[in-house]
Amino acid sequence: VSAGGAPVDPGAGARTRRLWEPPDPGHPERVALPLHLRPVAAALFDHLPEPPPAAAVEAAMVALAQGRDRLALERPVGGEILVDAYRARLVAGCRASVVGGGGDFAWTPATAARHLGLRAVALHHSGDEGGPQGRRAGRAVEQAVEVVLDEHVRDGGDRTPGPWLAALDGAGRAVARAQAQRWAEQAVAWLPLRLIDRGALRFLDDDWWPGGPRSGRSLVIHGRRDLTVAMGRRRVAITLAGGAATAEAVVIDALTALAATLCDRRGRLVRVVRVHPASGEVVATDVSPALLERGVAVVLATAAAVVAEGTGEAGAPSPGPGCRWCHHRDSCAAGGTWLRRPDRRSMGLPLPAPAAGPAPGPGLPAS
Amino acid sequence: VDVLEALRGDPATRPVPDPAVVEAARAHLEAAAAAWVESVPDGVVVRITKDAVTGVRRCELRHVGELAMRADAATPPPSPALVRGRLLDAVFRQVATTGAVGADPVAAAVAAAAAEGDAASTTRLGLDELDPDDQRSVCDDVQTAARRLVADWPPLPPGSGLRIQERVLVRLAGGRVELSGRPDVTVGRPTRHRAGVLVVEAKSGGFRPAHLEELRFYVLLEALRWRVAPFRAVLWCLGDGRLEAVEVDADLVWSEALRVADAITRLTRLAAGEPPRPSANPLCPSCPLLAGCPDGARQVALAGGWSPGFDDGDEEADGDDEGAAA
Repeated sequence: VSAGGAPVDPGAGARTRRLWEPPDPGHPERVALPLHLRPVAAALFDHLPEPPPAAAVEAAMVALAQGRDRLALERPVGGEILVDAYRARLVAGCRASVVGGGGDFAWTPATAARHLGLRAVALHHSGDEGGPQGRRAGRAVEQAVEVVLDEHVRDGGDRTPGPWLAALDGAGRAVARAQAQRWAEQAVAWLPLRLIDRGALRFLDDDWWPGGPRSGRSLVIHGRRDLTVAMGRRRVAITLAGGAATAEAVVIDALTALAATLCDRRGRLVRVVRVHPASGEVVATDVSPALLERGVAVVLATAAAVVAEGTGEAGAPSPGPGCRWCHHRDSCAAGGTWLRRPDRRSMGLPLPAPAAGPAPGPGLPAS
Repeated sequence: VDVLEALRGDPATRPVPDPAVVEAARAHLEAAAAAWVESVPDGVVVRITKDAVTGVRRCELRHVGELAMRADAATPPPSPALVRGRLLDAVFRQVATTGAVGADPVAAAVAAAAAEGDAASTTRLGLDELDPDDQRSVCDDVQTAARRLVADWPPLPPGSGLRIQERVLVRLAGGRVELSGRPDVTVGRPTRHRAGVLVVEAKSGGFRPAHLEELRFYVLLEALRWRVAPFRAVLWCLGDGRLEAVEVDADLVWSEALRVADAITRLTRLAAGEPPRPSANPLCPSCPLLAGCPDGARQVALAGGWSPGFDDGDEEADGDDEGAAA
């Protein structure tokens, strides 16, 4: 508005600040994308739904609280119950797999690689906007990985692979760096970041929903999004996943949607996207009341399994494909039987079972 | 040999992306998978590796028989070729990533394997299970190959998109059939205007024509994954230093799709419980089932008892047959 109150034409010379908008399918940048990135771009930008209604968010919170209290009445164990993607996926495959600390997260080259690699991409991508270090690292992903690795070793910190890295020798760190490099390259190769406003990006978002102290315990839900893209008031969460898309991974989508929605309380997350670079698959799931309900079911089932493990009650094993990499593989009779069944083995598969049948492990009933 | 030249080829002749041929290949593979997959028992995923493709097309009976024998037998001690392959794999990963390896490449390979959580690192990737003469021979081979690698592997520029032993999975028939492979090295990624991926496969031994089939399998997997075929595939035999480069075109992608589709049909039929069919072939003399196989006996008789003189099994460790958790 001019000094005299007359409207000013926002033409040449006028600077306007507007919210960033996603490019439409005919946008020159999108048209110029390599073929493999077009499905990712479509999953990110096209036909974004409205957020779930507030009533659905409220219903999910009530259902969680009721489930938590019911669990407390049935199994009176104090302390915090942590439900994260790692445990949820284990329990979705086999309730017994959390027995003996199987549900405890530990840093490995693979898990550290994801953390370091994506942090490196964030630094790499910060480019011109970061400090002097960010500008230097922005030139090459390799440099960004190096910087992030050094920072983690120097600074350490809870819930970071810093202490784990610090304990490694030179060869171990070289392996960690190489694998982190691979994750970073995957992120650069498979996410059309140039279409996304830099200010709208958040890497490795954590969502923690403390269930509250009611009944003397708390249920903590931990979800993680590798990348969050903000588009106006809507958010899309992206996860880079290994291997090919499987039905079990839906559990992770539901947990991510629930954790992000409950943390935010405003239901701004409208879509979760899983990108599988190994297979080139892109799976997009809109956040709906049904997905939130599924998330509640996942959380309660996982919490029940974790509590049962704490009280020494072993769940019955549910043999399945997860037996191939379960840490009870050598001691679980049910899993061993499943793995040895010839009709469970495809002709192209490796031979998973040892010649001699494994002995039943403690705490795992044979079936 | 100028390795960089062999890897790069002539940039001016790189093909433009042709999504139609890749889509046609995928459609053909889906059709092959659909033929028998309904009869495959629930819970079974037919995972198809390069070795499975080669083995089942050579002779279904031998392929199934060898799988069953491997299931029943105790794990045999590693052969010198297998240990050499494991060690060189680790050395190659290190050289390709960092451009250098320590003064003792065997120790460096074992240390890297230990850091990656490889259980075989406790026996130095199987080296400790060999007799002293074989140990010396394997260590000498690894030293020689490591020197060659460090001298010849070209340092790649930052941002070249170097990927070391990255698993590639292609799901067909709604996930009931999976093509799985792990090329040693892939470089680059496709752009809008041209194919940009290079596949490199390193072998610790000498050249064999069967290696080219493996290379073509990886080309197909990469094409399906990126929706664009690679521009080139290179086989580097560290044993004899031979370098084979294959230009990738639509014909190669399509012919490989036909070969893999044939293997998919056979493997899903077997997974559905159908009996394996014998196919006499020049490798019958080395088949462990020869004594009970009339077709094989006839083949041997026709060939005058000729033996190919080498085992067809590729013992080099390439990780393709590892579990899905790897």
